[in-house]
Amino acid sequence: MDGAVSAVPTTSRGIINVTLLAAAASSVFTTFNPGVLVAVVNTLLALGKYGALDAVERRLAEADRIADPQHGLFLILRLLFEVPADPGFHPPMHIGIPNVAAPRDAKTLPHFPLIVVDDIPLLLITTFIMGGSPELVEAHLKHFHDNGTLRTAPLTPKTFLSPAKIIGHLIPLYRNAYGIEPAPAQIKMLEQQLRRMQISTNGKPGSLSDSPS
Amino acid sequence: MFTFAQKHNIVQQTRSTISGWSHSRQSREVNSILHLQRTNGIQRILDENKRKTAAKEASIGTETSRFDHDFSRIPVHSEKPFLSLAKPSHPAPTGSHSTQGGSTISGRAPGENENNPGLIGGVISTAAGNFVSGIAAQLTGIGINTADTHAATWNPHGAFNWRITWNMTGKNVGATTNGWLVQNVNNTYSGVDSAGAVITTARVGATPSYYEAWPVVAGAVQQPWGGVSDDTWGRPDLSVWPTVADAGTKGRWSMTSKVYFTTTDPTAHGLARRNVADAGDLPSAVAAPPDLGVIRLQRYARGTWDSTGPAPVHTGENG
Repeated sequence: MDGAVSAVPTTSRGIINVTLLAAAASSVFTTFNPGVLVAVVNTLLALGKYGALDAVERRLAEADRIADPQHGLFLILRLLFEVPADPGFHPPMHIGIPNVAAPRDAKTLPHFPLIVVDDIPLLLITTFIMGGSPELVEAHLKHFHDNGTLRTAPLTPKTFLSPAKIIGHLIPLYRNAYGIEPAPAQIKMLEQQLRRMQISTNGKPGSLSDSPS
Repeated sequence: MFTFAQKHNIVQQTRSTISGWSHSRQSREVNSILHLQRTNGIQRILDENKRKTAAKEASIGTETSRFDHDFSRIPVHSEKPFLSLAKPSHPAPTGSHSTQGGSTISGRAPGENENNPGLIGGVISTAAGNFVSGIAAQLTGIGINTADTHAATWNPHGAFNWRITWNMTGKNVGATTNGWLVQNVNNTYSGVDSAGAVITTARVGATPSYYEAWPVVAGAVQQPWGGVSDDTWGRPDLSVWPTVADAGTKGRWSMTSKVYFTTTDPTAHGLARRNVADAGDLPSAVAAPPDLGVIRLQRYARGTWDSTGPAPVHTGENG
């Protein structure tokens, strides 16, 4: 596979492609694209901790959150920051995931609902059980502002591997977390996510960083 | 310096509560104090107005006695459907919806509990219940209604999404109307997977019944931690949901709710943030808080899904 996802921002000035940031911020997880998330995280990383948090906050301020609560920003934040040694996982997202759907030990999937394999973030939960109000992204923004340490290196997804190989690497992680193998329908969903990343990379939908104006 | 290469289309809605963090590095302590001040402010308003509201309700009690009914004591809605007709005598309050426009499952789905209300009876019950609740709202001068912010959608394998915002209505709703909107949500699942194992509410992970609360300040429903008042009802795609993860299931689900207004702070009576996962970030509990009074509104959403055929079907209705 060629056309790897942009792993390093193309400009140190960090001028963000707002369309891509908006896509990554979307709450529509059923069409989740890992490549978009990786590209956004890597560019935000170049902005430094407060620059990155500022960009996320600005996104929240400008978005129509009645139309879309911007839950994709949860995913950006938990990938942008290192998993703390204590407690060994990021804070849970209170957006409608009951205990029965989460791993038995949160440390087994510290980015949950993301599972990171070969530096590729895949999304295990794309729809939710909710009869109330989901947590606001601001709660996690504050958590990472106060406690977060930026990841030490950009994500370098091994997109040269075949989807089957990547899923093969994922299965032991899933088994360790849930005690069972992922079901065929789940594997199909994850393969679709990998395919979206492939298409967006090879189809060149636009790199994360625009040229400075 | 970082510049954000886009003009800012500010919409009326939540502004981040952490503006200027990146510049001022506002401390956790400061934010905690601000939150406490805000919380205490709300509670102070509630306390100050509780006496006024109680007096008003007492006055309303006198008014209702003219009709030989004490609405503060007599339930206005039976816990069971009080109209048990085989067919609706009038259309459902809102339309029915289908993802495929195809077949629906007839009869009781495998594993279906007898306590799971049928679609038609439930719809009529809700409509009739809201008729009675409307009378109660007129008499008390405090009612509740909703407006869709995301129309209900039924997607394959039982997935569903619906978002509303709350409105307080009635002649007695105004600047001094402070209290809490409390919603009692009830969930059911009954179905079967491709191996014949039953799909229950517990297996999916929904909480059968719980209470959740939004503060009402000056006649407006608010989010407890900021933002617009919002209630999201969502059901997962069971084909990839970890506890089911099967693309060949079928069954039924339902969500129903009763909505109350109270001046008794439910967070002082067991409702706490994140108690119930289904409620998200809201103060919530399985046990009912006291002094809920009359039902001001009833809501429902239901779905029947069948993923055993060549194309998955999911039909339903809400109101």
